[in-house]
Amino acid sequence: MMDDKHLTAGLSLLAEELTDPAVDIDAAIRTARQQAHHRQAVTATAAGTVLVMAAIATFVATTDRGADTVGGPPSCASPSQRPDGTKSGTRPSSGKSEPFDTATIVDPPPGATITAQSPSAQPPSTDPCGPVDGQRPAEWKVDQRATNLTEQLAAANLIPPNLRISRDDSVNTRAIKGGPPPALEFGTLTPDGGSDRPLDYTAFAKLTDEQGAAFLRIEIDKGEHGPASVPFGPCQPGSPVCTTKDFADGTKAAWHTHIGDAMGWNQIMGAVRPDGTTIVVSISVWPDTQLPDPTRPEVPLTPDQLYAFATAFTY
Amino acid sequence: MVPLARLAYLLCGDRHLAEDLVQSCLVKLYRAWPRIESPDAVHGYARQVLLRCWLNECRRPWRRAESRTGIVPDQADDGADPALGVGPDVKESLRRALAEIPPRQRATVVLRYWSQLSVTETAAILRCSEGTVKSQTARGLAALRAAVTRQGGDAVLPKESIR
Repeated sequence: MMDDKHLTAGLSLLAEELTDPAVDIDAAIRTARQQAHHRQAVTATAAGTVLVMAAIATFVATTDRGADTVGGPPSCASPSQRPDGTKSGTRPSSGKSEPFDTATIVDPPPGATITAQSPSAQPPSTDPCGPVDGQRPAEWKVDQRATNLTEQLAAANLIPPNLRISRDDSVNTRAIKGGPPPALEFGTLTPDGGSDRPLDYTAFAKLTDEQGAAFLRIEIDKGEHGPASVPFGPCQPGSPVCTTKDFADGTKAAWHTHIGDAMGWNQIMGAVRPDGTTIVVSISVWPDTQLPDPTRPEVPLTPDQLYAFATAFTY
Repeated sequence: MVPLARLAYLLCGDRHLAEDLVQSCLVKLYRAWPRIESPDAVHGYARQVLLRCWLNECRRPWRRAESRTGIVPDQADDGADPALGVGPDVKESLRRALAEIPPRQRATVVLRYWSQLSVTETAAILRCSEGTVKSQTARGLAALRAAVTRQGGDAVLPKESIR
């Protein structure tokens, strides 16, 4: 019989598996200083840009050349009117194995003003027009393959007609420069600073009905992954949180979710086709875990409807 | 450092991700240092930042995340404590069960039962009401119990948030 004490002991045993964490204090300090410097530069640039735009708007208005063409763009829509966002959530290599050095602890600067600040009064961690914590600003690009994949998606007709389709304006797309891309149109995302990963193709959409909104993300790639059954671990037979499916054409797929109060607030279907095309479809009614409640009681697509994506694409 | 890393490890179940989370947490902690009220507040704020980093991480597409499957400890498992009635089987059941419950329920259970934080302290870290902490704890324990039972574990978890 396990009571509080046993649960605590069990968690302690798990926690104690982690010894000598490879954390680079110096790198963290350097990164923090770079971010602070970058934010100052971006703020100054943004302020200057606003002044320039205001001057342009005034000029156009006074010369009567169609002031309606210069208006307040939608927030976060124009890269020239919002900060690029900081490179937050950097992930330095965990390969450094130097032990934690107490000599590098950063103490508060002498004489620093200490202000009372409750957790609830702390400023939000995200700029509403910039990337959220852990996300780097990303460039959205559309090439011929992206166009082909968009056509394949349209031809497959996989979204039930009762769902209204619109751009995903949730936290999922906040890092994309220029704002959320058109719904169900594929493109590639290239993070600032480049990426050491091959680009995949992604499409976003918000699916809404009278019960609320769900957020869909489709990712297509080729040749990177093996059996698509491991987003949350191997699928145990009989588990209510995952299933697997083998298609007649050789496509192998798996579906995963979390068990919880309402089953399946976040669901993922991953598939690998015989030609190496990999398809990952994730749908969520709780894209922002900072929100207290999901945006809909459950996701609007069944596992079978998610599985239908598995054979809809060829890279 | 090690307690923070172990908290991250319990939350995400992956060593390398835990180290990354702690690294991100330290960056934010450094930048926020002038606003922190006192040394006592550092621990709470660090946990809060860590939780936020992890919950943001949970939103990332799975294929961009590092593998979190078949988690294998880096060292041999010699930590079982028979005196506490917690054997290696129970630990493994608990590991798999934790992976199945939603992130905020997992965070609540870990903060309450491993960090030994009060309802009030947990609510401050998760930036939610005390009622939400209690309900999330109860649901998390129920989900853990169901997961452990499905795995055939003989451990019975606490009924609900009785602390």
